[in-house]
Amino acid sequence: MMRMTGRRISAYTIFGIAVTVALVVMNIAIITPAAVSGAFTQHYYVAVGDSLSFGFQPTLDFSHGFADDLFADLRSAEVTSKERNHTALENYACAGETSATMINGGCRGRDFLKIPYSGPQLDAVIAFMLAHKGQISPVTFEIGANDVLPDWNATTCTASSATDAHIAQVDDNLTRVDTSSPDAANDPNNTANGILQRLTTALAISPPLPGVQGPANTQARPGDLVMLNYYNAFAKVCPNSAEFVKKLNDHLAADAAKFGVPIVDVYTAFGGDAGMAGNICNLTWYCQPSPDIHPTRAGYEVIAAAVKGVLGYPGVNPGPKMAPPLTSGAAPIAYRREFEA
Amino acid sequence: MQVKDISRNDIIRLVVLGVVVLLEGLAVLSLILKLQFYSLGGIYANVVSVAVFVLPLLVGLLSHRLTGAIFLATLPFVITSVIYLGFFGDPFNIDLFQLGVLAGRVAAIGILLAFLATLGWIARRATFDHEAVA
Repeated sequence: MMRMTGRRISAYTIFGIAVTVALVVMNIAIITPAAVSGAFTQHYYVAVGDSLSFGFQPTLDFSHGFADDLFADLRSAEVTSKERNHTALENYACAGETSATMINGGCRGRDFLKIPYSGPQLDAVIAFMLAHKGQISPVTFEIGANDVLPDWNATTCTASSATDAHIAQVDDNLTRVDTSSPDAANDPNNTANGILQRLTTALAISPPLPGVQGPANTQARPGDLVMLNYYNAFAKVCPNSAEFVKKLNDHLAADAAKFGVPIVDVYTAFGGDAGMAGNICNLTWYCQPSPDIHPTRAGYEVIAAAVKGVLGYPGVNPGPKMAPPLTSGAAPIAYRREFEA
Repeated sequence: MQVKDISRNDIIRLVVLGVVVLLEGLAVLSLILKLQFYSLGGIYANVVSVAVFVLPLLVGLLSHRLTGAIFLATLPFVITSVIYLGFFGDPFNIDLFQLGVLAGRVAAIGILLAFLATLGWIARRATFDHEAVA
């Protein structure tokens, strides 16, 4: 039986081997780290946000924030290596930034920036994005904490009655769209648009579809934009503060979802409801004699791992500081790049 | 000498089949690495996404044997997975209890490709090649 069909089997075997070898060669040529880094065209990592993105620590160590950790890992994996003036990543963050000052200017920490710029942070970021179309990925973005932090009284563990109004203002600053015309809506320099609308349109390469705003434009967005939520620094001293922080985080998630922007769940990475209080002294400076809500170096590493988990880049593992398992809606996001090997 | 026994039509079929398998391999690579091999603007993601579903169907349509269809449709993903892991070694850094989740996702993709190839092969058998064998 085998002899009767031997010639035919041999021919198909040769075919199978040829296809397998071709696939192996093709894969090795494309997947090698060097080739992958070549495929990832020279591009920038842009950090946008407040003191967390800035990397603030009360020890005045400002060089080990999550953006620094993430950038170091991206470079080691050859995902990104673009540097301006051989200095560092493009970190536009301003300590003390609120959603309003991000749009209008007046950030409290504007005299101490990692990248010098005048005017609002958002204007500077948009200008950079427009000048480097197709060369920016990823973008990490976080804002909103400073809008509502003054509403929380850590002594009495109570929230001010103005909290809801301030969160609503954050929503508006993030999501508003100038609907007077499609051109106005899709103009990243139009200050009538909210932060997410301006960031997403600035990242887009292809002209947006007429009349389509928000999520549909993610099809034309070449760079990964992820938005971070917040941990609860008050978890240990005020167990009831979880509701306060989660209310803000819920709004941030809803705002991001309108634009198809994945959320990095920093709240869960810090332990979530169950583990936040136990982790917070290690991950923030809040248990020190002079309490400070900002993360320690370990805390920033946890945030960086959570960001990496959502970005899901090849060769960039979350590592020992494991981000929580991906949940629905937080799957690794698609990003598109030109292949220039 | 061994190829002599194969009909001209069979040779053409195998060549086309090989090209389709390689194209599927490129589509799988594009999805896994999120790379854009050819500039198509905003519709690239749509084209590749459709290709990953259509090409295994074509593999099934072009295969005389069901086992061959399943083998060839899943081969690109298996090879890509092995070589990718060889370069990046992800499981080494993954928490033990997430390995099962990862394995489940990998298996699901393999099953999907095999299913699509089977569907293509069934279409072949039902339409123009009633002698297609399992």
